[in-house]
Amino acid sequence: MSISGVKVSRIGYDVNTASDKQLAFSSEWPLLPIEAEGDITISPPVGGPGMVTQDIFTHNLGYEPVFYVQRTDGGNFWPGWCWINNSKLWFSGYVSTDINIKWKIFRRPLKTNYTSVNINTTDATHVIDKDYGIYISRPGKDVSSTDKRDFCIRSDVRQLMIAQSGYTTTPVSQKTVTHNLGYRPMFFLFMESDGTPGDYTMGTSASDFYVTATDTQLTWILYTPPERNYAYLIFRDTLTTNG
Amino acid sequence: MGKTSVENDKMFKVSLAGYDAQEATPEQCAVHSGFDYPKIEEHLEGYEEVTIPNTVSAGFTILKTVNHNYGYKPNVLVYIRIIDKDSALYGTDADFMMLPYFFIDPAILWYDYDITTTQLKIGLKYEDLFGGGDWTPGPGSPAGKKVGFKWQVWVND
Repeated sequence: MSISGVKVSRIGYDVNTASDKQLAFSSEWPLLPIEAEGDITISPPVGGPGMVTQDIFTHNLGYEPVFYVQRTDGGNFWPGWCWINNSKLWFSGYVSTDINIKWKIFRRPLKTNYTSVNINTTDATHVIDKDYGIYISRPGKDVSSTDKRDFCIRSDVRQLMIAQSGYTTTPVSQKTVTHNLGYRPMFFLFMESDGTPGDYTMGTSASDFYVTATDTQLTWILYTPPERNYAYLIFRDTLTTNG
Repeated sequence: MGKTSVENDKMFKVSLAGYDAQEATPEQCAVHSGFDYPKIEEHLEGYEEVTIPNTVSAGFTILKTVNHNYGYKPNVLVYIRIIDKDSALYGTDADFMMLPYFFIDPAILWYDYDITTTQLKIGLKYEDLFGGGDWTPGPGSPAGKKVGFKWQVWVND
């Protein structure tokens, strides 16, 4: 733990007793800064359903960044159909009808080995708190705005705080990482292409890929060969409670 | 949309331990006012265990609905917890998965969510491509089994 720094608790928690996951942010660990974002519609090929490969965004960060994609409407979609490398994000999958996708690229390399320390793992009691807290508006936005999207951070909401991240450099079929958070944490998993090193997709939530989370460890297993490289993020937020 | 960050914004910057805030890159900051961050309101995050109905028909069986009323389609994160284990259905090691999660290949049966401008709907989607009809309780069937869902509705769209 550093001697100096900043920590801000979420509304309703005393900053002196709030547990790590009850904070809004802390200079002890990073958040996920959004570098770029957008919505895109992926249409089937002319003539009917088929494979589509389409660029979504050129980020040119020079490294493979953390990203997130979700379907907002339209046909079936698997996050494993979106890929990222050190210059762009793209779609490659089977499209039968239009798919609307929301995407975000974060200013954080996927391949980052990082482990934060636990400072306080004991939850404080939530109380009714009328404190104003800290609001930091985004560039060009008024801090008196009532639209929470106009803010970079706010102490009355949760921010996704990164507890740990890492990556493999030798392909594996399964991997266990120790986190010692004392709860089952939320996670992101990314899988490297077996054919094109440097191309990453979100760890496919499929029948041959399983994740086990405990209070101390996160384990994932891919039963279908070949073995892959992975990158992961573990957040200071739980999988089994309201956080 | 596209790039939304403003790297040279200097209103508020907190560097991570070991970095000089004056010199820190965005990657070396705990908070940088030139960036937006995922934000989640406390009442739009939760965990709930549900039992799947004894009959699962083709279509979308909604198991949990969360009202957000943002008026736009926000980002969401949804995880499933497999509580009633069934090696014929999920495999022996399935525990927590991020949605969408398909567990029969080809993907005719999967856990997924739909997002609207007012609601997050989490459930089970079934495409009866092979004429198998309704799912009923038994080994290898999701019907009647218990699962848990963790969800986060972000402020961000």
